Amino acid sequence: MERFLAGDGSVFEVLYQRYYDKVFAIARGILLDAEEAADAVQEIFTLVYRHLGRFDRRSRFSTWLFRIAVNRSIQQSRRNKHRSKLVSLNEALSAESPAEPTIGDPRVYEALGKLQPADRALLVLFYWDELSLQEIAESLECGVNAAKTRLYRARERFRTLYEEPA
Amino acid sequence: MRKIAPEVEQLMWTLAEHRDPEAIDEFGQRYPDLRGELGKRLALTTSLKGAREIRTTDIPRFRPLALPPPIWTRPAGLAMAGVALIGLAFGSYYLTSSLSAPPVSEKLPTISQQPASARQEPEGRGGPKVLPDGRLPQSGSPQGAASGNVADLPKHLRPQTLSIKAGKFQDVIALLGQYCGLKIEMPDMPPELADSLIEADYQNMVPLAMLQDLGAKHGFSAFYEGGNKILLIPARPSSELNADTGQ
Repeated sequence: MERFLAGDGSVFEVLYQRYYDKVFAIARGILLDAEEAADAVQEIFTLVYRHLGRFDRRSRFSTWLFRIAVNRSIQQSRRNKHRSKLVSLNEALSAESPAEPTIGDPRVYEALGKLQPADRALLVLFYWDELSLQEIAESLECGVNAAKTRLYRARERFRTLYEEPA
Repeated sequence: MRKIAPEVEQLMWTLAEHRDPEAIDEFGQRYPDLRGELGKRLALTTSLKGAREIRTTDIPRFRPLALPPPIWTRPAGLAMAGVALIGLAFGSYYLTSSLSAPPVSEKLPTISQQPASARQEPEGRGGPKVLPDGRLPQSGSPQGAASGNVADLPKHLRPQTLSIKAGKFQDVIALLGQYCGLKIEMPDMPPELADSLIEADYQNMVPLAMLQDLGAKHGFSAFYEGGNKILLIPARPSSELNADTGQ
């Protein structure tokens, strides 16, 4: 990062490659759509690229990056929510609805889809990016106890939805 | 099914995340009726973690996107901001213009125009006390300073030191006003007085008392008009003063 701030733009590619997977996991878990997640990741890294000079080096770069990723993905998710009301109507009328390929247990994405984006963010950060509660608290700019409580509630809501009969 | 205590619930989640076989077994022995619940949580976390899509290969090349500019830089946003600023300016102007100062025609009381009873200044504050004929009182002490904390008094009420061996009267008055923060007016200054050389040597004396002393020496009266304004009136025969006051 020091080299990037000193003017070596090629170094950003290294940061991009190193963190792409985790940022994609965040976007994927919040947006639930792989293509949208890929687009969001490009937007997120573009924001980071442009504002890297504003990064407060007292905190970790990953914390700052994940915070941007969560916020941007949640914003996009809310925008999609307004559009999805029309999309679901069209899908109901069409003979074949497009099937989004899912990985693993399809009930996971079904349950995630019924959660609020903020709840999805917590679960993704903890279970997919495997961040600690401290790191999650820093990314969400809240206290550790608050992060713990929010994770607990998100997990319980997810469990209730996941265990619902199909 | 019985409600699970929060700490037991948290313990189950911790076991599901760490998956320590010994710890899981111990939990099962301790809470045999919760083995099924623990099993559900183990399955859930396995499914949740397994649903993660890993992208470590075929990562697309990074190309900075042309993101839309912030809303406040767009024409519509700028127009809205401009309208808001204009509205704020009008509102501010309307608000401040409605808080008008007292009308100009309202006359502030002056010592020379009102009876002394209406001009009783509180002890130690504001201007000095005034005699019934509007003149400043002859104070027993050369200082003539008002009581109270001197440092809190405005400059024109604080004791000053002035030492002029010989100077034109009008220059001395002007210097006194400038030095002591007073606005001294003498509209009917006699020409002979204006150019006469006078001496002004005062140590630690209130400016008003200095003017009083100069007035006694050079034939004028000093009238305190409030604030830092002093009006100097050339002396009149005492018979005329008695006729005005009815004494």
